[in-house]
Amino acid sequence: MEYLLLAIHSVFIGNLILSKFLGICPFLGVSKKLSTALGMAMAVLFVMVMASTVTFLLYTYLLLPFDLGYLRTIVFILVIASLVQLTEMVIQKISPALYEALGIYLPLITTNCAILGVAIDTIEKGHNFVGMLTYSFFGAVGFALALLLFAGIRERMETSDIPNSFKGAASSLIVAGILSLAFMGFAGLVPG
Amino acid sequence: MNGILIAIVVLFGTGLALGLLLAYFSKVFHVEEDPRIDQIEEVLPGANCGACGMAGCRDYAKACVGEGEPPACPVGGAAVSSAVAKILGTVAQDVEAMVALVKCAGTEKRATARGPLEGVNRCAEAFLLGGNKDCRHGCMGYGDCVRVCPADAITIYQGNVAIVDADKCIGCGLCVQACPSHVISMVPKSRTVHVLCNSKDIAALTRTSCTVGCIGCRICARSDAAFVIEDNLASFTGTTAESTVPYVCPNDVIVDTRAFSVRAFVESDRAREDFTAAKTEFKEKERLEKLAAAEAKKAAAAKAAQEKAAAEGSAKEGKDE
Repeated sequence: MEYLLLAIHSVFIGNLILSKFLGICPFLGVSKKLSTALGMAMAVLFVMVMASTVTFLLYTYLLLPFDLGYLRTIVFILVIASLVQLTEMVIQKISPALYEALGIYLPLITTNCAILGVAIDTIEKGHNFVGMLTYSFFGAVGFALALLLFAGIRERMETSDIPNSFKGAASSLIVAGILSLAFMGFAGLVPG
Repeated sequence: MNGILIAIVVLFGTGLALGLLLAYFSKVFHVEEDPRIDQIEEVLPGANCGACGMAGCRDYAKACVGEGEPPACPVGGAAVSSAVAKILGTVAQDVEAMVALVKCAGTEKRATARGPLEGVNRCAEAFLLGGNKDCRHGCMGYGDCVRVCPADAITIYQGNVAIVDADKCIGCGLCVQACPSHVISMVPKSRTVHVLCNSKDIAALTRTSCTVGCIGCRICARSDAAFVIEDNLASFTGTTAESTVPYVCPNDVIVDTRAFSVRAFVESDRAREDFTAAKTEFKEKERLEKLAAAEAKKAAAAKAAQEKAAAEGSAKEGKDE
């Protein structure tokens, strides 16, 4: 039950993009088409769970024993960057099809703040291992949800008649704001 | 002090371990890629313009080494095509480098205006309102093509006629797509003769709306078979023509880029004057030649008649005897 609540919380209430404002760059950058948004969402899901797991283990078994909690940001960045690099190599070798599908998004999310944000947040919140897995997985699901919703809206906006000065980034940001407001409505869903 | 030391060691150790890991795995998971892909990518223009239909030059290079022949790179032209063929070990596709051409010389002085359209600043808008010139087929000059051109190759002369700089044009064809009047078309870079008009109206209409409009009179087609007339509009389909070909056109629509650049022909009054002078000279010469020919013919005919008469006379004399 505790994990179910955590899952719902991380998808809707504490949505990474719409209430924590992490990962805005891919949110605006790759949301022009539904298909690319889906590719990005899958890549984020994959990397987020993997990166959180590795950083969690590293934090618990390397940094904490040496009392080096303050080094976590730099170590996490280091680990995430090389991990993504490594994953890319492995995927390219093992599954070229998946490599083609993820394409440019995999290296792009190396520096995605949502990944680092979740890795740090899960430690901040003091989750255990299963809690960390739940949090990172459903955090990524929430990311995917927001991204896909936004991409769908933007695809529709392409064909609608928008005043010239609102075209492109301007209307996208307004939509993002409204979407964020809508997600605020979930706030009372889970207590705490 | 100890804490700092441990921090340094841990950070250094982590970095080193990850670095070694990456180095090791890049060897283990090394993927053999066709080395020709890199080679081809190097000889491609690298503009990632997408004119070939691929997402970028890298994708194009991949398509080259894969099965099936991708279309030739329209930006690079023959040079790139042969370089790619050399890497692949095949024969080069024959590819013409193409450039965009605005087929209109209807400046303010030459094409009559329908009056300014208030609040319009796009060709697409102006086109919906019927254009800003009496001629529906000409360049409206709001610069939709300028906005899409990735090479900054297009300029607008006096807000009226767009002109493509053929040297800067990379041949991507984006302006052709953007132009609502379809006044821009892609032509082979090597072509030296152009018909600078896009009017498909009947002669009477074209004549009233523009002084340099093609009326489809077919005079050029009679002097050179490479001119094709379709929908009251001539177009040149060859590569080059006699330098005197532009002079036959009664409305000065044809430009020979060996004599005048398209830009000069549209913009410069001086070039037009020079052209008119050369044309008058040519016409005068032609007239004199015709006169001389007629005279020579007349003389020849007279001579023949005389000879005939003489021959008949002598035959008659012979008969008499």
